Amino acid sequence: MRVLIVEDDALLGDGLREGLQQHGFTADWIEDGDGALHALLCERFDLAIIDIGLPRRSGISVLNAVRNAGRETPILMLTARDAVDDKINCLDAGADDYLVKPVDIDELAARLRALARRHAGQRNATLRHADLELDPAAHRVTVDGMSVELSRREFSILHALLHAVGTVLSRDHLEQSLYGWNEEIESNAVQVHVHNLRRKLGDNLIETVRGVGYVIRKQSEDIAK
Amino acid sequence: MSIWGLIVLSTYRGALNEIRQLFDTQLQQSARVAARTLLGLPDKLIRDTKTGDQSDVDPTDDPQSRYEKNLVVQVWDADGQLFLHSESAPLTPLSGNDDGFSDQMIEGDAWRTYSFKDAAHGLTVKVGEPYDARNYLTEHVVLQTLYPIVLGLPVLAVLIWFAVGRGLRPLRRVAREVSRRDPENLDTIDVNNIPAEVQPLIAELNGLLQRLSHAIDRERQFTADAAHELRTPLAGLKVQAQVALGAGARSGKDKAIEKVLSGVDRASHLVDQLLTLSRLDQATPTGKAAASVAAIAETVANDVRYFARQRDIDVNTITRDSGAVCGYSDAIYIMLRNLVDNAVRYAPAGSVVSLDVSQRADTVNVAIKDQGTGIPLTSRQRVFERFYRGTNQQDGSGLGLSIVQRIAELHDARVEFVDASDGFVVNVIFSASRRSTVYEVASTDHRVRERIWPRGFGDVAVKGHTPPVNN
Repeated sequence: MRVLIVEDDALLGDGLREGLQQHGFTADWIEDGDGALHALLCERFDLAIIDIGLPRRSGISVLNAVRNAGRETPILMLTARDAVDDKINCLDAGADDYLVKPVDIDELAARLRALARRHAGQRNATLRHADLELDPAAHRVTVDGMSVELSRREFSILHALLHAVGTVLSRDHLEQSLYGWNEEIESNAVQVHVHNLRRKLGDNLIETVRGVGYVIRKQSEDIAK
Repeated sequence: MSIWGLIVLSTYRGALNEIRQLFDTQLQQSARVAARTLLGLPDKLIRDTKTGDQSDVDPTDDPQSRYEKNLVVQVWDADGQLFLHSESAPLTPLSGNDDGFSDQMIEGDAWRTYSFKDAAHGLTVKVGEPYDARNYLTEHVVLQTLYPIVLGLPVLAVLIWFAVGRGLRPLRRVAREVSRRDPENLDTIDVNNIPAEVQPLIAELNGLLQRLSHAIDRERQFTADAAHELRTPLAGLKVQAQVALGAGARSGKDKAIEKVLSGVDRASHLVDQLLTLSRLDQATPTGKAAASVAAIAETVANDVRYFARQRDIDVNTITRDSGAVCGYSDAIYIMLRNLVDNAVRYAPAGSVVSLDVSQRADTVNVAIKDQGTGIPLTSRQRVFERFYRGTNQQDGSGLGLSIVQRIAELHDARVEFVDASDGFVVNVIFSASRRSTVYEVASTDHRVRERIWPRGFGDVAVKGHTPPVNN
């Protein structure tokens, strides 16, 4: 899951990025609204956290611009103001959730996961496919109840593919969801990780679609509700 | 009541006096008329009358009939013989003196007599009036006068009571309304139906209520703003602490905990600024003393120099004069410190920040100059607002310039922004103290400085800077 953090306070922004990384997200942090808008429209983010009180361009303004551009990216707003009117304004403007500072990073992570699930039309947190189960919160993958060791990157790719089950994800897409701005993308990284996943989970799970990308096909009895 | 009583008394006595005089005058005139009449008669007739009957003098007749024949006349000749008298006159002289008025007791009754001598004929004419009749008439008249007054009192009292009550009712309504108010309610008082005499009072009261209401609103707003401002530093602290807990590697933990510490310093600084601002809000312009702006500027420069150096910024002072002003040294220190901190924060690395203290005719000027871009023109009005942050400020509390402005107000000083060719200047212009040149150099208590600017503050001004190990 790639999340963009838009927060002008250095301590908080840095802390959110580190904290969410610890929770398995790929997190990027930007300090101003204009840059955030640009990033959200031009790059692929699965989620965004936007602070309302930004200098120059307010958080609500960024939210409006993103929605007006037709982007459905789930957005959670952060604010220091807890008045009901402020909450209503945010939610009516198109935010998907709202948290008042100070926030608990664990709660924030859980809410982000819930937003992502809702966005994909899923109710159940745990992703299931045949005898494979992936628990995003616990970072665990089990096959037939037996735990499988996956690296962080492998977990991310499997999560992305399961989350978008039935949809072909391009290599580009997978790269973007793995790597933030501060990280270098190793060439062929995605290929290597998919190869490892096939080795650990079986060849039939992930299908290669030539020239397009990778996909995990839907199983009729295992469509996540 | 007593005033009314006095009025009644004086009316009574006044009336008595008037009537007495009336009677006396009448008596007097009667005497003269009698004399002239009698003396105008031929002698024979007069003497004859003298030997005539002497009816009983019965002064105890009822006053009413007495009133009808209340005048008695005696005419005495030069030898002291009663020579002529009226029917009811006694035979003894009516009065002892032969000239003027007197009061006599004759056979148990009080009489008022008047005598005068007719020198031409050698006769003394005496006339007299019994007091009984007089008194009766007097009282009668006087009482008649008094009846309305006496009856009037209760009626008047009742009327006054009503009128005053009516007039006071609006005041009582106001008093009730005010007493029903709880301390939260500062709405103005309704000014309809209030007598004109009290309107100025109520108008002033309403003015006061409005000012109070605004002041309380400002206080509340400030408190709310401050609380919100503190939420962000606290949020940062919490998240960094959680990051520290969740970090696998020791280095990650250490980094996060260091950030927590610097965040605490920043939050403390914000709290101190808030307290300062709150104290300044309550400050009154008493208790000022002589202060040397130059000395204070030197102190500020010394305190800031260490932290500035970590950004490779030099802080210089140029003090041509001592710059004596009348004010609070602590407050002036805070003001200059805030301005210099801003200068250091926004100056480019490797540049110079200078404090220039100079004195002209009747002003003391402190110019704080940095080589940065300064405050954009559009923001210059708003920068003094509380919690206002410019586009670059993220480490500040947003309160520095509000504090500067408040302190400037307390000292009747002006703050001006000036663009220089190579930077930005903030001028603070005090009016020079008119005291004698002998003054104490008031330098700031170091405890004050320590409390307001804890060691860590300077670190926060620099993003990504590692704090020094030894301080």
